[in-house]
Amino acid sequence: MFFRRSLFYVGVAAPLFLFGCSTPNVSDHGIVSPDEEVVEGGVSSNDIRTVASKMCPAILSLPEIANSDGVVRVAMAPMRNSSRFVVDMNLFMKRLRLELNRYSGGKLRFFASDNVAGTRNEILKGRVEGDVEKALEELATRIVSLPFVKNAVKPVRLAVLPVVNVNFVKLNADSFLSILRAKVAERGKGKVVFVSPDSGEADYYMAGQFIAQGMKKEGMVNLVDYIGLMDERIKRNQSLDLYDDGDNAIGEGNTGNQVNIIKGDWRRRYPSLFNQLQISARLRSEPNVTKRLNVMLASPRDKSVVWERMITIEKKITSGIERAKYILSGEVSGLSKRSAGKQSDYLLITMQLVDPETNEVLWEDGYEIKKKSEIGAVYQ
Amino acid sequence: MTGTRTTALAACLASLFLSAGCGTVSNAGKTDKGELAKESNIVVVRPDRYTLLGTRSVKDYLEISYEKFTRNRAGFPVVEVGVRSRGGEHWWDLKGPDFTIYAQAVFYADPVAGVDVRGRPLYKTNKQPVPLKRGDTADLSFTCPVKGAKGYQVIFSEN
Repeated sequence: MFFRRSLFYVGVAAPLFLFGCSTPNVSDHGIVSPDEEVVEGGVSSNDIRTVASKMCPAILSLPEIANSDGVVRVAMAPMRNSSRFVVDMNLFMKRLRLELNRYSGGKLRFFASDNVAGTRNEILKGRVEGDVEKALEELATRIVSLPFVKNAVKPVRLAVLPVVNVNFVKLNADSFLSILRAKVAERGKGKVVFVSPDSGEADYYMAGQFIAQGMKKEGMVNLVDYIGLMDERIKRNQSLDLYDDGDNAIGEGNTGNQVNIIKGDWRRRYPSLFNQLQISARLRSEPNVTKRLNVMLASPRDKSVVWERMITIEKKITSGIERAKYILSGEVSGLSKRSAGKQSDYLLITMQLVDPETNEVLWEDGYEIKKKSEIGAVYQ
Repeated sequence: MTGTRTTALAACLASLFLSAGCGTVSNAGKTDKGELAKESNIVVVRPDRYTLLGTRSVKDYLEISYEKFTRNRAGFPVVEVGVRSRGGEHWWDLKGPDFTIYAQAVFYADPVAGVDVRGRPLYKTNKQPVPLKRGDTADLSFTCPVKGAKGYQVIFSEN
């Protein structure tokens, strides 16, 4: 009886014991830690993370960074790859930037990469458009407040001439002067009237010129010369289109260039002007420079400029990198050997902080590792 | 009578087994505070396998030659650890292999050693490879980019 009971308890306890020994059914599901070396050899994610982990505190500990007041702006130069591995070198910089942004507490600032450029340009252009509207309003107010307009006995007659350098800066030039004309007419309250330029009745010409700042070949035109040229064309009953010479359109030295169809005698009389216009015509791509509109009122009688004002139409869109205090750069160098199916790679990953003013290397550190493998690593 | 008692006991045990697996969720076990308090600043992860003839812990081959917790010029906490490969020291393992271990430093707001409560770490390095040849000492240094760290733990593992 006792034997049977014991047998029963053993029978019950045995499965219990066995159930307790079972192990959980776990799997990595194909996901591993970024620190794990799944494939031997080559540049690995662990190298990228180790470099970031070592360099981040080192950079933040530099006296130039740690003791600086306020924000320190750093430009990141692309990593140079001198190893045999075809790896996206940006990974090193991106991982390091991530670490620095996390732990610098806002002390370090970096510049955005190219992927935001398009949207940024749209935003900045949109902002400038609002500023231009205000600037044109201010110009109109100034024009109607000019003493010779304000104190005139009878309405002042203005004639608008086409804007110079339109081809050059690729802006809708006429729209700006049209807006300005409308605003002047509105604010003038009858003191200013606009007449056709070819009517010959204008008291003043209102002319404009786009100026692109900081270009090697600016194509700058002397606006007074231009007004003189226009005035002559008006007196000869010719159109205000510089390139339109009617029956005499094909002039000497014509090579098919639009500028060359301007008659030869005019080119001789205004050599500088036509030379510059020719340069302007060559530069037809939209330059990323600060563009200004110079508005001028000139008297047709003596071609003297009675009033002039310049406004900014478009600001040069810069990457902001000129504000960087330091440049962070790096290089991956490698020494590789292969023999009888075995290979080894020595990798030296260096980082530098450079002062752009002096080109001095303020700080440099490196991480080195040697790896051996039996199959070549292929990056995809 | 005996048969009835035996049946009842069997039913009771069976219901006990079944009810244990019936819950939708079960509470996760918490780390034993006593065990936590026993941990020092430098630990080696548990072996990947226990056998009747010992364990397969990399701890067998390691010894810590020095351990230092300081602050650098910028005020950031720095842990310096010397780890040496001493080779096999058991009668069943006399080899002195060359191997690579991984070291990770974790920095906390408060000291860790001998304390049974631990918060979220302020900073963690990645697991950094440390190749060791027999007799070599690797001089490791980890800097925490968070100034407030007062405690740390360096964890050695095989992978």
